[in-house]
Amino acid sequence: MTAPLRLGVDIGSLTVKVVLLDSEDQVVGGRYRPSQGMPMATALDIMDELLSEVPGPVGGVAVSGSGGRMLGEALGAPYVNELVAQTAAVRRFYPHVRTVIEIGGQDSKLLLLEQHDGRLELSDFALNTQCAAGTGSFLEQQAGRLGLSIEEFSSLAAQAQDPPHIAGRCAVFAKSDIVHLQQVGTPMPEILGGLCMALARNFQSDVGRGKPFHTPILFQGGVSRNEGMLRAFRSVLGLTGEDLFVPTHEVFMAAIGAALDIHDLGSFDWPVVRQHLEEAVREHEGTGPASLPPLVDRPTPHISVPHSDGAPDLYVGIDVGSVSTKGVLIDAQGQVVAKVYLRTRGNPMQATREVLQSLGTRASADQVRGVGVTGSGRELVGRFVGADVVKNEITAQARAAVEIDPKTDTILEIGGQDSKFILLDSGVVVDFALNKACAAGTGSFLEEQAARLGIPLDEMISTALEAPRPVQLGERCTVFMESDLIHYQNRGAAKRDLSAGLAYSIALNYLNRVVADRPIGQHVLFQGGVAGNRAVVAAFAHLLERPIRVPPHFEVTGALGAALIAREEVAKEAVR
Amino acid sequence: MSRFQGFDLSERTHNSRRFHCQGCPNVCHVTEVRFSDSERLYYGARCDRYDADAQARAESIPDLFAQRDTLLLGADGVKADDEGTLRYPAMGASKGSVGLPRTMLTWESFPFFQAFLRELGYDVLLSPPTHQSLVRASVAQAPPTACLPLKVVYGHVDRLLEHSVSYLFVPAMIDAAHPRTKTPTNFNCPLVQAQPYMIAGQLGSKDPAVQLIDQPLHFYDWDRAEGDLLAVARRLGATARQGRRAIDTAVTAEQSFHQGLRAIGTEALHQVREGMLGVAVLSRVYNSCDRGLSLAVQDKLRALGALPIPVDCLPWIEEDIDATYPFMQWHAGKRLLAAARIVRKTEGLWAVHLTHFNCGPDSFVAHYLKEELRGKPCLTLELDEHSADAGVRTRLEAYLDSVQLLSRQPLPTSPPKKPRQREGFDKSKTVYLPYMCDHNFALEGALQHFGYKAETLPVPDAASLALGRKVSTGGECLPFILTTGDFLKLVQREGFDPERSCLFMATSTGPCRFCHYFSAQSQILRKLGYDVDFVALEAYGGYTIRDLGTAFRRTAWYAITGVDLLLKLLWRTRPYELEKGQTDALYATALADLKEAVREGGRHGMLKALPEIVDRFRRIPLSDERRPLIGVVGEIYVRANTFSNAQVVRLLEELGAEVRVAPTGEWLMYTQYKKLGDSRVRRDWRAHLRTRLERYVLHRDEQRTANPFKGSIGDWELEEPLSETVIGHAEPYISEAYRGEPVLTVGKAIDYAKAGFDGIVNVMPFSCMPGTMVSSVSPQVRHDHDIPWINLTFDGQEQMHLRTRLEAFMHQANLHHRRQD
Repeated sequence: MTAPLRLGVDIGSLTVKVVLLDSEDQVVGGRYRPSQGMPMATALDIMDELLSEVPGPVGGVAVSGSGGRMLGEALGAPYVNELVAQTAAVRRFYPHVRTVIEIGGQDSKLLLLEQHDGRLELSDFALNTQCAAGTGSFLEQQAGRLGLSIEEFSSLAAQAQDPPHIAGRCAVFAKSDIVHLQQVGTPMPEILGGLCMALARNFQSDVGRGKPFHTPILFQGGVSRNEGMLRAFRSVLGLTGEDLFVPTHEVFMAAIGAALDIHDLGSFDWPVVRQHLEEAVREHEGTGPASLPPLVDRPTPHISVPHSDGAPDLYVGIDVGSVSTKGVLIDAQGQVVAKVYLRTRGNPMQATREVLQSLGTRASADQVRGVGVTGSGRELVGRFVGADVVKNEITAQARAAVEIDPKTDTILEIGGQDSKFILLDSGVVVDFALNKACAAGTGSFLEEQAARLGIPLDEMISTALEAPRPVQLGERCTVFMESDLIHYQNRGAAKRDLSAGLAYSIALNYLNRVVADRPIGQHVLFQGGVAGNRAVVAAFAHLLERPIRVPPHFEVTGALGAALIAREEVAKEAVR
Repeated sequence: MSRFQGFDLSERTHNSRRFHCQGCPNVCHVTEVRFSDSERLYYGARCDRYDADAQARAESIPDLFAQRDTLLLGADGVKADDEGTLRYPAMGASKGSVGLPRTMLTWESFPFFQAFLRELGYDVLLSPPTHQSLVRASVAQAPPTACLPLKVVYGHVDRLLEHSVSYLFVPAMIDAAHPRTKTPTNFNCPLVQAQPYMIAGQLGSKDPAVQLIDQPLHFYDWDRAEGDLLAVARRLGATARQGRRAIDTAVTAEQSFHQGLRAIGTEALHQVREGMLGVAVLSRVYNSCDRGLSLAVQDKLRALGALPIPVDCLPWIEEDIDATYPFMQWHAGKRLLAAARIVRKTEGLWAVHLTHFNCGPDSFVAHYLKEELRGKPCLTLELDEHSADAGVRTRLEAYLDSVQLLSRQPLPTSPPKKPRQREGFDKSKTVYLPYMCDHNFALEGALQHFGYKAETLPVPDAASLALGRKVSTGGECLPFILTTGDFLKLVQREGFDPERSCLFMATSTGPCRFCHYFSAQSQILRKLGYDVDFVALEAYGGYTIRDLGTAFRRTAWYAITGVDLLLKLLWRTRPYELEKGQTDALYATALADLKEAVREGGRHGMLKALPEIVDRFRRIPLSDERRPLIGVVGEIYVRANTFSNAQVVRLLEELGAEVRVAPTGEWLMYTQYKKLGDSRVRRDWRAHLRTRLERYVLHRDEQRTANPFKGSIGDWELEEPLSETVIGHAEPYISEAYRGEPVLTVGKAIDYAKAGFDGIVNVMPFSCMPGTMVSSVSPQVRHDHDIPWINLTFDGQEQMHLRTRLEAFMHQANLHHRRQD
């Protein structure tokens, strides 16, 4: 009879890894799969598959990883801390290694190893605590954004010759750099190489924090599959060839280490264990650590806007943002005749072309009396379209709000990558704030998190509004929130409660980090793309305990303001 | 006629090319866009070099920051290299070279030090201006929780090392000279003070040959400063006489620099009166005058048609703000608020508050600034290494747009109210103590014993956190947010009567943010309509309380020591209990009984009750295993407060540890120790003698309290080491010239290591300045004392990796434990 096999399971923040070891500690089977917020169910599926294929009896199971504790309890299996498990695997297969760089989806680790009495031991370690910039999701987000699979990313990045510098602390900052590089036609491999360098530098500064990287260095975890990363680390750490290498089972080291820790080889009975696991999956579904009241979808007070009679004099307003480009056509009474909203896709000029093309189907150029441009790309686009006035977005947003309702005293404005808070007194801007050095509380955060939960944004809104127990996700930087999301996911919180929690946290983040201790008035107008998200509106209404009004053209108010300013500017010039 | 080019722009083509501008060391990636009608547009440059309109506007406005640079850096014989490193030749024959980083206080004290060092016979090297590649290199090696101005010190030091200077001059700039203020202290930011300790590690690994001059300099007390400077002179091989001459030269140079600044300011205010749109750049000098850190805000303002004025050119020295801010212990904070007061009363003058992400002091100064400027909107720019130029320009533009719409009427000039601070308790009022730890009950019992109504507020919870956050500016430390939340919960209680209540909040004279808790809280509560008295007792005065003398202090001390010992007993017993929960239950009644004994019988009552209380613990059946010992050190509130540290002690115990938390009494002993040193510096021998006696009594009291615990806890922990012993342990890493917790944290950790502990957990609030200091020296301590060490920061959120990290840490501690056996 063959010696029983050992099963090692590693529940990471984004993926589940399972291996089978034989009595010689060799890997005879392994699976690696994204958990999509269902780590226990994923583990169950994988184990079903693996165990149906195994060549011999299985004698025991052990678990590791950030979600391993819960699984261990469910299975009645021993839990091994992932750092300890990784050390065990390295000790068994690569005992000469002094440093381990492990980068997974959400977690990065640095393990420093030393010989103690002839045995390799963990002497020091570091994890990414403050920030997720030194982790795989940084690359994944960027790859997704560039429309590349992670495999394509890997092979392209490896071709980089002279990668440009990309600021990489926060994925959002890196994004703007990438847009910039694309605009000027930087070849894709160079951009990707730049991203890899950014990640390697982040790892060195955020995780390594001045700790020595003694060679030989083992590079493992999902990200080590990326050849560009291997090159980037060699370059950043100033290493050559064998000083930094990737192990054979680069993603399974913690699972292997857990399996190596199994000493009791007779107690494993899959049907029984399976039943426990199924119960655990059922039990943890829908029982998140909720503590916020459910969102109430309330109709926002209606603001009626009379329809235009198609008067001959028209004004164009364009708002060129980093994520979206907006355009409106208004008549002399300030009524919206046509509006367009589309993605900037890193090319503000092309986006403007398309916006104008679309507006042009509703009017002829000789009707246009004035053009106003606002947004982050205003100078360039203003020159491009022949603008009569170019104004910053604050002034434009405020102008539109006053037109919509002269009593407005507070504007909440949340767009793709930026958010603003404007206080008005009798129509005059008296105070305002923008999102500071932080991406939390912006629309792109919400989109990314929806993608992470694996649900479309629309569905996220409707499920959020049905959530019975919204999860309290916190209200700090994107990175903290993302970590929290993963954390609660690992603990089995339901997706709808997380969606609702996200709606709350974007509102809380906005209130705490953008608004801070500024006063909020009674006539609150909510503008910008995110105002279309009813879950976020409900969260604001709940948190502020006052009506939150969303105007009819909430997504194009910046452009509307620009058009209104153009109308006034032209009138002024006419007087002169 | 509109300039509109039509709806169809498909024919309107453009070419773009990208180039590296070589105009300055920033080497911006600039894009040039050219339209078919040959108009050209540039973007991507940090400056306005490529914007003809803006350049013309800017050129019509005086560049006060450049004038200031000339005053700061100009000198005979100075030479610049390609990168901008400046070399100032020695007076007479050169004995070698001294390097100064162009960072932090160099931006205001360079004329002084330059003159001083050259007169001593040294060439002076000033590192080049901050630019992008230097910022990048700095960020890679600096502690991630530091602010950007501190991070760049690392890059500047690297540059100086490349020039192989013989000395690196990075003194510990403890406090600053101020001709007017009467506050007991006038500190620089804690991290400014700590610069030399933080870069010591960097030097050791890169260039062990260079000598670091890390002399503490106390400029607030000129006699002391002279002594400090003479010590520097001695170190540089000069005689006392040569040293004195160098000091005289330096003072003259500084005076002329200050005169120059005043002249700039006078001229600037004249321009504003003549109608120019003035913008005071309210900031620390180093984050606004350094264009590499300020994203050249000054140039952007000029390009928008405004006159930017450096904060120290305004006549801030003429404003007496002590009456409003008697607790303001930071020099830069005072200057900023005084300048704000000038802005408020000067028609046509507006303000930009320029700060950097994670600036500890500014998280509190922002509270006062808003109050100081009320009615006059002020733009806040918080920058970091990722800030983009475009965003900054937008904000400035919108700000200037809106201020020009506001009327230019002068605002009422009455200064903001100062907090209602009382130095004593009032028997007609209930004093509310926010819960920090179980020592609260010791204090509560002592107060009640002396006839005062005292109540400890409930343990902070998620609601405290949420309420506190709502009124914070975002950057304050966790203990502030939680205690503020606790007070808000209190005042919202039904029937709360502000007139019959007072709030207790300890304070200090700096240098960390703690001394602003009560004042910011008073301001917050007042804005919400609750005008409540604060009893804010000051640490370095030894928590002197009006009407309550030595008897009360001794009682409180007995009770606090009693709780410290009781906690040791709890931590000694709980991990080994055979029946889960038994120790906790017993401890709860023991604590209540101790408090009751203090309330009824004062210190004698407690001494009488203790033997029986301690005896109860002997009846708990225990296992005879021996676990690894873990010491929890760090910021006092977070280490003691179970809510804010996520129950770290219990978690460690769950993972197999026996734990001790550094005792709360340690801080009280430290304040006595500092009182002793301060009276020596002041040559107040009476106070010195009194403090000496008091320390003796307190120490004996501690021994008496400990007696009943003999045999129940370790002999080694019956008596706490003296402050001088603890500080002595820390001396190789952080000088005791730095006031506050870092020396205690490092010293206590080493004390634990020497007592045979198996691991150290250093806890701190997120963005804690003393905590940043400790974590930056911790690798060295950990190495020298061969003990596992982990730094944990807490921000009130659930800590994702906490358990994982502690599991691995306990794995190391277990190995350490086994090796020791």
